[in-house]
Amino acid sequence: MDEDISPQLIRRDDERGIFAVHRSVYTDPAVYALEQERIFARCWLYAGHVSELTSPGDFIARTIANRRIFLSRAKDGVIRAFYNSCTHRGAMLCREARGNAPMMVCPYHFWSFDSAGRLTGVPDSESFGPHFDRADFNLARVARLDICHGFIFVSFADSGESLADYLGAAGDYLARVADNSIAGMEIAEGSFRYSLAANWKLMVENSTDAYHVPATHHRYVDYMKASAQWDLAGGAPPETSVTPLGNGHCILHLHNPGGGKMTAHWTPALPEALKPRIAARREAIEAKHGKERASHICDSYGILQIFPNLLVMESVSTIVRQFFPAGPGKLDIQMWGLIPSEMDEMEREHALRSIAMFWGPGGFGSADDVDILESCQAACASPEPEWSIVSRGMVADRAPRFDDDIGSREFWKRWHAAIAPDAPATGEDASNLLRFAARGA
Amino acid sequence: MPDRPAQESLVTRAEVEELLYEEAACLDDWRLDDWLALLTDDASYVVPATNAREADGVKLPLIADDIRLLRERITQLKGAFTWVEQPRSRTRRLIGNVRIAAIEGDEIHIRANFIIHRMRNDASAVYVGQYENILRRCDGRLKIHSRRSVLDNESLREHGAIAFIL
Repeated sequence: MDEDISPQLIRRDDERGIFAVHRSVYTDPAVYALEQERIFARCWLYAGHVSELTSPGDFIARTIANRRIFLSRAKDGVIRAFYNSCTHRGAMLCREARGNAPMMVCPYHFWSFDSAGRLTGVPDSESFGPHFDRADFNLARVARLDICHGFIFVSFADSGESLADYLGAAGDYLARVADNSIAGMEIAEGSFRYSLAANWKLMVENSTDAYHVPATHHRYVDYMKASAQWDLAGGAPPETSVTPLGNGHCILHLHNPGGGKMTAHWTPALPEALKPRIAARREAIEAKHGKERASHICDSYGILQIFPNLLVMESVSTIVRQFFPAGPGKLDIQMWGLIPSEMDEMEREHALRSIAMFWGPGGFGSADDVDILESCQAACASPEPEWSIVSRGMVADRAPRFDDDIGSREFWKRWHAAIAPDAPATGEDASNLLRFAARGA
Repeated sequence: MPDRPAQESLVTRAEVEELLYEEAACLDDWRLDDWLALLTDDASYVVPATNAREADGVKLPLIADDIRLLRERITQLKGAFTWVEQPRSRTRRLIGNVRIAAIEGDEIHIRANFIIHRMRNDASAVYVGQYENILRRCDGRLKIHSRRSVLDNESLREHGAIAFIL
């Protein structure tokens, strides 16, 4: 590769309908290092949900972009993000994934910090000399934290655009998710924590790719078609589209009112016993937001892609999916169920089972994605062929469709702008691509 | 149930072990229909999330199949389009520490430890955990009514997926 590797990673020729990605982006350690520096150290990253921190002293420990951090709600009610590391010698303060503690005590030398991160206790502090000031050793704060409709984001960069500007229109869709409950949505107990031997960008591409469903998820589609659910749900989603939201974000609309939504849209595809509860929630949402907005909230299925690594997926139930690269060839993924907090046990049971059935690593869908993406990774490690194409839908004579690569291209454009800020944006040097393509063939 | 004949609930550990070993052999040998025949007609199969394993309250499960979904799972595993088992993995199960935990009416609660190795594409992963199963006698034969496979693995970072029956 040349000294400046990045301009050659993406080739685009709108006239010929070509958008190609050089496969080294999935395997090259130099690309991984650039992503760490130019994407994960700068972008706003999802770090948790307010429902996980309801009481003062609540904390959750997370690994975000290779950084051990924890979020906590202090006595003053404010949620803050700290590096999970004692300012003395580095030991981790939060040793559990979640919990409640009025203060954090380091097990190494018993330094202690209050819930706002202030250093409050140092055994034998006199021995650090007269110039030792506790205030210099408060817990290190993560540079920025902001909350959008219950979704907590952090950024490790001191400056940059605000979360609201970063999310743009994607924030409106987070609002739509949040508005599925009057009392507030909450993260259900338990999560899927698994890994793939695959580059994280393969999972990005997969997450808004509706084109892969009939093939990769053939067994699931077959099952759905054979089951009564399919008829009750009115078959395939009738109204579908995908809208790029700018800044690498996009929304895949999968309107399927027939399938119902556990939050606030009962249909015969859902258990009869749940009808009164779901209807009551819908009524409350209509009373608060009006009928038109309520329909938007309650009847929409969607897959919301937030750059770089967050997906919020609304179907029968709502799923939050996030993943981080753990080296060029591995990704660590975590998925949570997001449900109205007022749901009773029967509703929760159904909502969470429906998530496991398709989306979980033991489900009828995601398990096959694991296999396919790992096979992409294994094969893309070969020096050739060099290019993958993400150009579905780049044709002049038909309207964009929901199963075009629109979400992926939105991602790649934003990715390219971050990785190669000085590279020409688009369209250039298609001859080079074609040369590569010819060589590949 | 005081009027139930005593022998109805009479069960020996050897009988439970025999069932568990037969089950393990069916699954490792990919005799999946034979395995289904070891279950009651209203059986369930649950794998709790690795970070929410307690049986109390409702939590996000990795797998929560009723008999209808479980039969579907087997149909899919045998089919040509379950890519994650196409080609098939090799598995080998070791079942041990079998105990009868409680007998409540016609329900026999058992515990057993499992270690399952899965090998595929030159990689391997180990699933470790405990069965918390409920057995019932149907027409004199011991069958599995409720099958709860509780993983001790803290996550599926080494495994990627649960593609087969755990």
